[in-house]
Amino acid sequence: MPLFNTVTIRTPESVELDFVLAGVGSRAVALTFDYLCLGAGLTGLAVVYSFLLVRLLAIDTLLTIPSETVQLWITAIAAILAFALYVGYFALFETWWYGQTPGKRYAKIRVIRDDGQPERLPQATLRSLLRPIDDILFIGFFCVLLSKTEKRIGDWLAGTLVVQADPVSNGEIQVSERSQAIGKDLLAIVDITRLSPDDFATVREFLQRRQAMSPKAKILVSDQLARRFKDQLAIETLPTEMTTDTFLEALYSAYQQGK
Amino acid sequence: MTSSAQQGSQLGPLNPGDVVSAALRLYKDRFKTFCQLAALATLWFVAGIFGMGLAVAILVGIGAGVGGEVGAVIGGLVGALVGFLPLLYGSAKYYALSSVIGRLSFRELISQPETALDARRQVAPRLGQFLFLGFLLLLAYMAAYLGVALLAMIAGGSIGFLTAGILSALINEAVGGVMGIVLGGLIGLGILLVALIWIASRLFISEVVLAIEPQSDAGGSMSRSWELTKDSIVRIQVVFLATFLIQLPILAVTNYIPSILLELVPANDTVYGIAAVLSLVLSLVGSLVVLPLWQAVKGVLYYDLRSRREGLDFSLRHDDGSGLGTDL
Repeated sequence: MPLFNTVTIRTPESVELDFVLAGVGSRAVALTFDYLCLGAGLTGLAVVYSFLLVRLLAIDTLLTIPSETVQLWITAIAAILAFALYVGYFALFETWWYGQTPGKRYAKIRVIRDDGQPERLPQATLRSLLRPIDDILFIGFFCVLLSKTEKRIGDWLAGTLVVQADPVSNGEIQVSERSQAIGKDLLAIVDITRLSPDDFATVREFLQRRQAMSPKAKILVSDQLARRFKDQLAIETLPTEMTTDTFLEALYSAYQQGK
Repeated sequence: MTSSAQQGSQLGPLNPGDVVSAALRLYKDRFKTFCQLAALATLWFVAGIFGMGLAVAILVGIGAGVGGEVGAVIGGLVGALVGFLPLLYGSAKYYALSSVIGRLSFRELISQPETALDARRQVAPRLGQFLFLGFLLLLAYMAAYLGVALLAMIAGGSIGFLTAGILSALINEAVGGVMGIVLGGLIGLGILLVALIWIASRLFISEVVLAIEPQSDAGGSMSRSWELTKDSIVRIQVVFLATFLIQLPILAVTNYIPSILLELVPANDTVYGIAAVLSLVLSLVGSLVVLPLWQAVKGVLYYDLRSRREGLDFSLRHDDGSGLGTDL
């Protein structure tokens, strides 16, 4: 049972692209984050506006213009700026960052067009203008929850999809020089092709994620993986004494060199 | 992460948003089972309260019959004591049954699904531990609240006074006073909120741990939750917020709107009574619908944290699930 909805897009060149849809959770996370940013911006604007207004109330004329006229102008400008901030925040970020806002970037999702192309200004503006309607009575939420392609009204009209961004590999892998040397030795004595790409992915993932693991679990998992791959490669005796972590690092570097 | 999600194999660590989406998906797929469990849990809780009320009423009646007014008071007190038993039993049942939902979600994620009946059978013997855990959590939250409230008062108060003093000297006393109160209040409230949320998220998954791990007891599952959530406070906050946001539409229909309507109802006793009962029932239904979502989130979060901290997905990937059921 797949936990996340997927969508397949056929390009004009008849290439099929698979996307994993963002999911309600990630969209909620992105929305919360974006509204916090936007709220901070609007609060800042309100503070500046009220500061200016208080100052203007105290004086009669500013450079021969009556203070009341300036007050009206400032109010009008503040209102326009607030609207521009609300619409512009989403529209401009999504255009500049190819379908991402700060919140979407944090939640690792992005907006694309129905044909798989990156989102541009028209779509971003349309989505942004329809956002208030989607927010009223949680209409957008129910649309996302109940429709198969997870579209809110803004997405339907703009012809966009919200999908998970390509997972960027998280965490550098540091392979010590000793491990690299052992990797070379390993390459000489074993047939590294017995390691499938899936196995290699497992080793890589472990090396990426081991920092976050508790020390006890790290030893346990490392031991488990090392034993498994040692058996799989039919290694009777290792070239030198080493820890299981070093062995896995050596395997990683050997596999890369062997390719 | 996404590619393994496609293969239907082990997911591994998840984004905060994906934790919520996955929980929602599990809830949708097993809607009937989860709702039944939540309904049963809520019924037990209501039955506990009802039992307490019944005990008080009966003993007050007996006391009044035997010794008049004094007897009624004594009977009421004894009734409250006796009534505590059904209340405790009901809450323990509520707690255990709702944790079963978390357990089911977790088993689904590690591709070893269970039926609701099996899961309940596994959890049932530890009913006493659930009660004890509830008691421990209550104590922990109360102690935390007292400590943090004191700290917030001191910090907020001193900063408020300082601001008020400085601004009074610089501008005038009215501005200084208002700014001092506002700033001090905000800072105190902020400290209180942040600290309580922090503690709540450290203990967030204790009851699911108790429901899932076979050899665990109340204290053990609390410290386990504390240990698993160690480096994930921010992530849990985000999960928390997202789940909260998602439950809002449901609660808006069942809880918030009726209570607003209740204020608009004319002050006629019968109408008001009916409306109040209706809104109470509706809010019960609302919490019943929302309960599985939170429990499923806890189950998924437990899986996520186990994968992150202990590489659970690595072990599952290679053993094909066999032989692992024992050391969960």
